[in-house]
Amino acid sequence: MSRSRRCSLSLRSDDSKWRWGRRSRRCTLSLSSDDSDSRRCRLKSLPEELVEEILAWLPVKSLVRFKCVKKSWSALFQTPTFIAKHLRYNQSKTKNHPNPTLLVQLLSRRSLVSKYLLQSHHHDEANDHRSVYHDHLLQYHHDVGSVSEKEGRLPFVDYFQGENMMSGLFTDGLLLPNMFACINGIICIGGLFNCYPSFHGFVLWNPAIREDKTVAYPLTLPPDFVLAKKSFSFFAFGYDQISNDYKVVGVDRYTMKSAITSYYNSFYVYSLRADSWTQIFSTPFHHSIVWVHSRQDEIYFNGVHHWLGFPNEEAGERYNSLIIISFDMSHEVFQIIRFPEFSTRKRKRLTVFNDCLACILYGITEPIDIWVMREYGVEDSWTKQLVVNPPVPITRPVRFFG
Amino acid sequence: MSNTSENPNPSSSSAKITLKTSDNELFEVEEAVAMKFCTVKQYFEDEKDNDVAARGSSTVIPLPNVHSAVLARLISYCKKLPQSNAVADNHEEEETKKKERKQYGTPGDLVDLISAANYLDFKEGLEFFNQALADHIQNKSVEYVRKFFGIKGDFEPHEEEKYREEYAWAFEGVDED
Repeated sequence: MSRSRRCSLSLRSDDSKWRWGRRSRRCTLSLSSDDSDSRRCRLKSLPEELVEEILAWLPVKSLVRFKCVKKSWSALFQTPTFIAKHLRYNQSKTKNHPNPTLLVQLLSRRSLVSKYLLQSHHHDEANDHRSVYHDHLLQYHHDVGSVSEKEGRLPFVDYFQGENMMSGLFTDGLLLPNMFACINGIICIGGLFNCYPSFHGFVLWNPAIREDKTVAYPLTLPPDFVLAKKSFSFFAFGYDQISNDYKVVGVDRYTMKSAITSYYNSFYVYSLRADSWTQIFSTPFHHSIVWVHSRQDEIYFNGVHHWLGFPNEEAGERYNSLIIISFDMSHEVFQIIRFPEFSTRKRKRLTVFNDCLACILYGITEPIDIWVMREYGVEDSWTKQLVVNPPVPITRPVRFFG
Repeated sequence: MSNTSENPNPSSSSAKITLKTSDNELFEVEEAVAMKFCTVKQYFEDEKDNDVAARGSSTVIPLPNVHSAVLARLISYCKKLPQSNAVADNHEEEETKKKERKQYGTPGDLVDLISAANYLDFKEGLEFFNQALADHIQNKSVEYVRKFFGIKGDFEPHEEEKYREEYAWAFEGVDED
């Protein structure tokens, strides 16, 4: 028996061992052309799937340029699979953000106009003082999330030609901003847009490709209903990992015109891919009296947005009755997470601690307790993890670093 | 070229495996290195199941799609592997890694390495050399990339012109071809 012959056969014939399988052969053919230049080119032997793997490692600027190499490349770069792969590869390159970025609201001569500027730090080994600047920016940077891969400057911000100035978004007339979030390099700023007619909405801004999109919140009230007086509307930006889509969820509180003391919640979700709003009805809170407590105490964690809220009006008198209202961006479901019976009337604030949902209990002169939900969604797993004693009176804990 | 038929101790911890390239060169490599190539590993395990008695360092695994020059580079990469693929901690480390990726030859060599890593189902290697090639083309012009991959542009001239105007910032700072 000839062993070597058997080996060659087994290596050549078993397509399943070949990472790209049969598709690569077909693609080899499609890449060949009659052009004599490309005949000489040894690279025609790379199957399309491998070329795609190489391209997914490129920075955004290169991809924008190479869109005009070929129609099929332009189409490829816009497929959700390629975008997700590109994001994954580029995030895997470094643990820390290569270019720490700060989003600032600019001082404006016209008080009713707000302008935002995104500043990105470019690393310069020759300049020591910038390294200090680097650290400084990084701290703030965590508040707005991360943005990488921005280069050059926008033409309409000529008077800000600082060397760290990378890209800017000027949203004339965005008032009362009530939402800042950044996921995968996409920034979401919500508020009231002061144009005519003015409207509530948000801007989605992708500085890497220098594109932005403004979306108005829908008016979803049924007839005979009015928005509750002094009501708050709550919005959250999130990423749906399952369908690879960006979403904004909104919660409005409203009452019947005829019975203004009973409140209802209205929930709606915007999908960037569908570019449309959907109202969510199948939620236990829709006609309930659950309400969101404060815009200060929210946290986005593991694809789920969490607000602090109250289970009902009467119990709302007591701080102990606080609950967590969560919205899962993928499954589009609201849920209630209850705290354990805290034997204290300390105030509460949501945070993430050791990769777990956590709650900070604090008072002005009292020790700060950190409770951690060790197993996400399991109410029995709340554990008092840490007690911190601030030496001086505090207003509130801001956030964890590191 | 190495003679592989005389290793007396096939079960030692540093067992060797012999790979035969397309140009009939024989490479005696440590089992741990060879097992990084899933295609080789699969073959080796099939062989073990089929023919236990014959298992040993005398097994020669043919790699009809891999040239000796390419295999030599892949093996030298394998030996540095733990450092090469670790995630960079910061900007400086990422730059160091870029320099390291540059050491594996011309873009043409990289293409050979990518094809071989793909054929051998060598995941870390494929990722590494893909990145190395991406480093090479990232600042290149559209024309360079078309020539490099043997692609003919299929946009109408006026379409392309319009696109280049609209996204002029992406066409700035491009290297000489």
